[in-house]
Amino acid sequence: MFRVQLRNELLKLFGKKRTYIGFGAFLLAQNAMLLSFHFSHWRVRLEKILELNGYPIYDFISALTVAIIMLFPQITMLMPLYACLVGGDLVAKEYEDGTLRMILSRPISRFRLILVKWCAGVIFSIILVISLGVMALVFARLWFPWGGLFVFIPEPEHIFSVFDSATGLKLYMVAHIFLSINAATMMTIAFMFGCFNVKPAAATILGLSFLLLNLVFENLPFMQDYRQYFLIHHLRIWICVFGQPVNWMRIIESLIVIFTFNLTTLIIGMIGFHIRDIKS
Amino acid sequence: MGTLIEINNVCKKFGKRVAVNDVSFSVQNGEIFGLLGHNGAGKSTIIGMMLGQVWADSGEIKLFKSNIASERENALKKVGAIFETPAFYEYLSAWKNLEILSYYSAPTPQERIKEVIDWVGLTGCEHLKVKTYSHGMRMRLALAQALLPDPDLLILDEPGEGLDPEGIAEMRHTILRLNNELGLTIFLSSHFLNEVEQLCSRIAVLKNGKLIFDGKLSFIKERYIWYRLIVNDFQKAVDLLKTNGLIQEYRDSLILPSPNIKLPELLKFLIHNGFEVSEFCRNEETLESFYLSLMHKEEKTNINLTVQSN
Repeated sequence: MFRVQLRNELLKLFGKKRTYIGFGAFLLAQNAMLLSFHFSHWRVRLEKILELNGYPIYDFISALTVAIIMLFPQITMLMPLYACLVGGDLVAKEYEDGTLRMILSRPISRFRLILVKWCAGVIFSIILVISLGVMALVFARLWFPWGGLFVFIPEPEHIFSVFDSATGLKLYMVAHIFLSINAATMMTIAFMFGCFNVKPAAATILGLSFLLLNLVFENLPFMQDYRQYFLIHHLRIWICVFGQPVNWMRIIESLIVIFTFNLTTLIIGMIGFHIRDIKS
Repeated sequence: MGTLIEINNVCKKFGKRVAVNDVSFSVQNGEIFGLLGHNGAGKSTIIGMMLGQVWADSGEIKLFKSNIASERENALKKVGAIFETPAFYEYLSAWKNLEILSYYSAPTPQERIKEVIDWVGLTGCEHLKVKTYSHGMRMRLALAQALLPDPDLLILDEPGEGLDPEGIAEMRHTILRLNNELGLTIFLSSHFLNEVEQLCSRIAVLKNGKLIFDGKLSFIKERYIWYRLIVNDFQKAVDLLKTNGLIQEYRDSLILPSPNIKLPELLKFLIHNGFEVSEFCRNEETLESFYLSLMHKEEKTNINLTVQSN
């Protein structure tokens, strides 16, 4: 039954046009970035960094390198927006539309309903990130040759790494596993707000505000020593996979924090949903 | 004849506002039960509590002997519900909507979905998107989703809202069919007193969250026999009749004689006191007149009128 209920939730989710806004936005953003990368000084700067460090330019100005560069603005700006949009909609939109009352006149428990919806949200987050990664690589390949991967992230992770194309592709895929976890976490925050008596837009805005405040506080100069207390710090594990050597302890620690955070958020949402009155 | 719905001393507050105040009643198997009340009287709150969507502050609600708060699955297994404005996934077909909703109850075979679509008369339109449906078709679809789990009890919250006279007549006909052909117990809340009078065997009336009447419709008609009295000075006549304990109540040109008062004696009394009686006849009590008289009474009188009849 759970499997069929989950399938039906996905059917509802992917039957809506607004679900695809995120995918469309990624498509446009990636092509716009590729154009600017191709015709701006961005590329020259990257070539200079590689040259100064003694690496051959043409091996590393590749589809993989460009795909990684394209990920940053999308992950900072677009991914939270679309993950929160869907997360905020899952419960709150059904309440607003009145379909939640129809569902809750049936013998399904509120906890089970929330669990099914959350699982659907997680699957959406995974699909969103996979699409983002595949689209970025495919479009980058249309403009740039296949080659090694060069990753340069000065702050805050201090990463300067080069990989051959096979290792680069493998790491690119591993990074997307962690990005899926990030998207699911962002979705879960908005989902939790949506479980309370709020409008879908309010749940999305609250989710985004939570993430934004995290980012702002983490970057305050006097908070440098307390970074590990902010969720955003832990959501950067996808970058850590490009470190040489990989700091697995940091990754495991952050994964535990993210897992605990998601569990807590989900439980708060479930309790909030359980105790509230569903009225027209 | 078993009890399907038991509501015992239920109270519910929204903030400081009392929505439902110590309400108790029960519904028997096979009945068509009507819940009446003004806007904000607490009808939808009671239905919400019956379906486990609104939590009662105190009291107990049982459906099929199972407590809705602690045994939700058992309580709602054989229940179908339709709301005032049925909401569906507009971008999906009626069939997909039914499939999705059915799986919140139990696995439902495709044949059953086909059967209910046939029953409500939507065959041929089941694969159209719901956004193309008219209000009447939506109501039929709402009925179809309520019938999917093969219910024994159907809860209808303001079922005739937004329907034209033809739609209302069709709805009445359908409710009677559901009760007669499928043997369903029907619990409905409505503003349409005429429809309730034609459909229901028993009613409960709420006023400001309080139950002010619970009884059989036949009981109302037998218990409250009003008479039309046309005299030269109605007010003076009723004042005199009331002072002498000959009538219980009066309104407009109607009087309700006190129990055990013989009508010829009452008439003789009026004539003896110099009144010119030009008309005196029995006035059939309608649900509307009964309901309005309940609504216009003072709170104190209403409590006295609360009747528990089986």
